[in-house]
Order: sequence, then structure tokens, then C-alpha cells
Amino acid sequence: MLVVDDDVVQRTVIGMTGAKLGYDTVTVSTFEDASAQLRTKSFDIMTLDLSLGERDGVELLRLLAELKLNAMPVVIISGCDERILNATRRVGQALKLSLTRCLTKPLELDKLREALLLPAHGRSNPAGEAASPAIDRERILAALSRNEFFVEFQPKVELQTGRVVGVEALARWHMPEFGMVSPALFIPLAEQLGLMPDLTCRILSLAVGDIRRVVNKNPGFTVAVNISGSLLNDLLLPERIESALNEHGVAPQALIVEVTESVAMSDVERAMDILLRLRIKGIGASIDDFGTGFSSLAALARLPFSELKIDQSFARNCDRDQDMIKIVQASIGLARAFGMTVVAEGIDNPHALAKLRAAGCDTGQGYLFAPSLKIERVARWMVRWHDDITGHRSAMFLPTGQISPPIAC
Amino acid sequence: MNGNFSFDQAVYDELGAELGSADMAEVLNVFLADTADRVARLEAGHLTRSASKREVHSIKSSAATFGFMDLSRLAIEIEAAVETMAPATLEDRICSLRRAFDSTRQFALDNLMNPDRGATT
Repeated sequence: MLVVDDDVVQRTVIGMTGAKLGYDTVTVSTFEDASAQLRTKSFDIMTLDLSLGERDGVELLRLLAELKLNAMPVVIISGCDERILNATRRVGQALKLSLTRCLTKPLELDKLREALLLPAHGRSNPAGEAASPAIDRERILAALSRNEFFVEFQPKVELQTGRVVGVEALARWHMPEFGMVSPALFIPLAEQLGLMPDLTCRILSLAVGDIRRVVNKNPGFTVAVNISGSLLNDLLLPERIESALNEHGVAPQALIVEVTESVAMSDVERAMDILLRLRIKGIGASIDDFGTGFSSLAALARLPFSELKIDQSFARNCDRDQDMIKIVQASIGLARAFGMTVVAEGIDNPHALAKLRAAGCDTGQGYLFAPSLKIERVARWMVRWHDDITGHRSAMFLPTGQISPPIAC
Repeated sequence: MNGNFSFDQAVYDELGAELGSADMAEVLNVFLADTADRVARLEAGHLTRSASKREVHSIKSSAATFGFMDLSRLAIEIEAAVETMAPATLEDRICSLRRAFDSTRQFALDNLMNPDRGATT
């Protein structure tokens, strides 16, 4: 994350907030320093103060367009009045930049956090659509051979204690000529072009290789990898996975394969064969996005899943929608009946966390804890998280029944 | 509110909850040092009006970020009129800003930087 602000206090606060959210932050105070950074490094997000002394932030917006950084989310932060911010939005639109938010000073921290998390949520771009890259079969094959795909990891936290118990590996693609490509774009394309088996195997191998050290240092730590539906037709899948684990010296118990509910249910017999063999090898199997498909409960009971992941649409709204919390409670009851552990995705506020803990959910992930992190940030985030939950965030993980009023995070 | 000194504890606590105590102490030190420099530059009287405006603009936002409302309000007043203010008036307003900053710094040293006397979370 690049923070451009000529005010050292604001720069420090924004940088620290970004670091808490898991970003590697670079802070600069001038147009020239920002320009040098943007020309030599790629950033997931940038915050920009419009008043930069001699050279203003609008000049930097023009530079972003010149450097074709249209897809990089930019959060405008300014002490200027609303009319100037509106005019800045229009400049961003004209330059086809991804201005995701305009915030006024003094900064409201909840808005800042939300703005920094917005791009990760993959929400829309109010400044206009950024250009999409041209992607075809050859381009994806080239990306595989040029190692343009990589993995980020979203931490999974034990909800009763706050302990980090694993990560979910998420596929990422950085196209040198375009920047980051959304998984919402390249995964359906790879599926459509018949390349998901190649991509999934690559991601699995990268994930296991990258996380090996963390897994081996933390007994019981797991890495979850999403398995494409097309791979469930491959009866050699269990052997391929076992071979990847052996190659990197990772125990089968450290891997969880995630299969979406709709995929698992599309061919129950085939899924049963593969999942059973994976389970026999000691690999965990998780039913992903639970609640969004049309499962037959009988089929669910037959499949040997060890974990159930409640879809984020239920977890995210369970603090303010009584119907959602009922679905969460029912899902937890179902999982318990079949001896599965339960993971909630999309936890993004302390109220939802409190509800999920009270409902007995085992594990959770979401922006309240961390966005997806590059491997080099994972260990550092874990140390910081441990400090936080024994310090100023300890109230979030008091024993259930002694939960304090939700705190600002 | 703390006596005649206007301090918004809730704002300060929110920032502290976000950053944690170690980072909060660091950023408060950055604020005190940076604002001291800015006030000194304003007092020296060598700045153009637009440069003075940028200095008070920064003080306005930073002070409000910590809940130091007296200092922020004074900076707002100066920022709004600095380009047309008579020199003597500007000098007077900068003296007020200096006093507000000195009180703020003393308050911070007494109440916020020393955990034993903590007004913080």
C-alpha cells in the first residue's frame, strides 16, 4: 500500500492503519517520491492527499493514468471541501482511474478502514469501470509458464480464543502489462477454457510450498485450497495432491480441500469416491459456500466432509438479521450432527463475531481479522495478531457469556 | 472536556483502539514534534500566506485526529482568513495558536504520555 501525504501525522496514522490490515505500507510525502515508487513497484492500493505542497494530488492522478495504473484502487484523503472532492471524482472518472473513496480530514477511522478494505471486497468502482485485460487461453497458458500466478493467504481464527489455526489459500494473478486481475474474472474464464485443472494444481503446489514453514512451526495449523469442480472428475486427484504434499514435506493433515456445495452435489458418486480417498489419506475436506446451493441433506450426509463453511452472505449479516443467525445456528447444528467443524466466512465486524461465537461456530475468517496476505506478511501478521488479542483486542475473545460490548476494531 | 481545555477523549480512545498503545505513543510523539515545527515556522514570520495556510491546514486536521479540539478550532479560524488577514491580526492569532499548542503539549505529556496517570484507554 502506498500512502502519499505531506502531513507526517496523517501519513503515520494511515500507514499504521494499513499495516494493521495486513498491508505492507510505503509512506511518502511528495509528488516526486510517489512518482518514483509508482514507477518501480506495484501496489495493491494507494491513499492520496490532494494537497501535496508544490505539486498537488491531481497531478499525481494524471501520472497514474499515464503509467496505466487505472486498475489500482485509489483512496482520496483531503482536508478540502466537498466541492473540491466532487471535482476530484470527476477528474478520476475522466482519467478512468479507480477512485474507490474520497475521505475528508480529520480522518474517521472506521471510514478509513472500510475504504482500505473496499478493494479487497471487490466492490464496484464509483469513478467508472477500469479497463479489463484481454484474456484468452494462450494468455492464461503464458501466465502459467511465466509464473504470473501467486497465492495469498487469509488467516482463519479460532473464535473462542482468537488463536490463528490456519489459512485459506486464494489464487491471485499479476499481469505485468495490466496489474492485478480479479479472480472473479480469471477463474470463470479458466474454467470455461478448460484450464482449471492446470491452474488448480499450480495454486495447490504454490500454496503448500509457500506455507510449509508456517505449518511446520505451528502444530495443527492447516491450509485450505479450493478445488475446481472439473478436478472432481479426475480420479487421480488424490494421488496428485499427495504427491504435491510429499514434494514440499507437508503432512496430509495440514491440508484441507474446499469444494463448493454445488460442485459436490453435481455428481455425488464421483465426489464420494474422491473425497473418501482424500479423507483416508488424512486430508481434510470442506464443503464451501454452504447454504447457497440446493443440497440434498441425504447427499450431504453421505459425503465424508470434515468441515462446513457457512457462506459469507449469512455470516456477514447475522448480527442484524434474525433470519441469518437462524440459518447460521441451523448450519452449526447440522455440522455438529455429522461431526464436522464449522467455519464462518466474511466476518467483518465485532457484532457478527459475538453472534457467531455465541452460536458455537468454531473458526472464522474475514476482514475483522485480516484480508488475504502475501506469504511474506503472514508470519508478521500472526505475531502482531497475537499481541493484539492479548492486548487491546482481548475483549473480543473473552470466554463466551462474558463478552463485553463490541469494541471498535 | 477537561477544565478549560477542550479534549475529545472519545476521539483519542478510538484512535488508540485502532493503533494499539505502542503505535499510539509513537504517533502522538510525531504529532507533537511536527506541530512544534509548524508553529515555530508560523511564528518566524517568513512564510507566504499560502504557505501559512498549508501549515494551519495540517494542524487543523492532525489536532482533530487526536481530539485536541481547541488547537484544531484555532487552526480552522486562521486557515479561513489567513489570506486576507491584517499582519497584526495574523501575528495575534499565531500567538493564540502557540498558547493552544503549549497547553495541548502539556496536557499530552501529563495525561497521555504517562500511563500511570492515563487518561487513555
